[in-house]
Amino acid sequence: MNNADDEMSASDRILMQALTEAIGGPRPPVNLVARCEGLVAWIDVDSELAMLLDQPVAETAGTRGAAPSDTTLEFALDDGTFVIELETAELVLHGQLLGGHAQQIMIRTAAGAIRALPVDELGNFVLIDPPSGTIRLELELGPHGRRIHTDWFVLSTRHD
Amino acid sequence: MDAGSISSRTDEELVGMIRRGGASRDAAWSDMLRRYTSKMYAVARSFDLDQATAEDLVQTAWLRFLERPDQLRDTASVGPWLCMIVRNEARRLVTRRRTIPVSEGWETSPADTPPPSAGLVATEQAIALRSAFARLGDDCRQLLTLMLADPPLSYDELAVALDRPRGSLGPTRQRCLEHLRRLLPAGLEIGD
Repeated sequence: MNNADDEMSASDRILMQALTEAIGGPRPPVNLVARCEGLVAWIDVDSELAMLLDQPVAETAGTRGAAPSDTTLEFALDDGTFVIELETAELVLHGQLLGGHAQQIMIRTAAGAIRALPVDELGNFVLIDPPSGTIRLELELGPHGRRIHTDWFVLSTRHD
Repeated sequence: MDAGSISSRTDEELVGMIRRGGASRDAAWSDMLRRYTSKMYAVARSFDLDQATAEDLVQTAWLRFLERPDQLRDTASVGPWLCMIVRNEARRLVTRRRTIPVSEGWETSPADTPPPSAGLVATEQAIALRSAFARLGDDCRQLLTLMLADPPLSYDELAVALDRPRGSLGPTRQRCLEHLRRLLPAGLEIGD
């Protein structure tokens, strides 16, 4: 029950109690907290964060006001000088770097697995059969090796 | 949840210890995980996402928390902030899948064995209640699911998770419970 209980009528309170007994709330797997314990090791102060923008809009010249694309993710440095666009189709990831060039891009899972992908001269990269789960992209930009990583995000290629 | 394992420190104190690093960071991090992980998981499951994806969402929200310390300006509102991250990511995935799966979703088995004294009628009632609950609209199922979470979400956390004004939560719950009552068969009414 929650802290709105004091506003509930007696009959609603009885029904909520019956729901608790018949259904119960969602309960996390017992090992979930333990699985999260090690995440604190991912704090990396030597790499710049490209943050996931809230509502990426697929918009090109002449199509102002285009609808947000629910399969496009856009990550940007705080100053907007560098952007990574990511198109997440069912079994393939297409990405593009805008505002800088890297030789390769790394796909890292929160479990620590990593895959390197080549980046072409236009900044494009492709990943076939991407992993499911919590991932981020990492790269070194330009000749001085400026390190950048994206926000973590969930890539779901599971089928219900 | 074992209340004895939860630190008596405030969220602000724990966030400060995690940001500063050092010897106390890991203990503060453990306390923070135990305080909010169940709530975040409840928010993820309320979108009818499968268990593995819900776990990924919780993990992702925690990683954002660790990497975006500056975004969390009001360290006293860490619970609603975490619920918001889970909600936003869950919405993105649900939108991408186009449809929310009909509730073969979260736990439909009884949370506890019915009390022995309750007898057959109570068992029938529980079955009828589960059936009626499954026929509720997505919005009502999501709201009631979150209101059944243990430990309970605060009003602010509920409002953020559901993206509704705080003041609408009580009236919406009342409306959903009325709808649920109408779906119960005659003779198995509850709380009338």
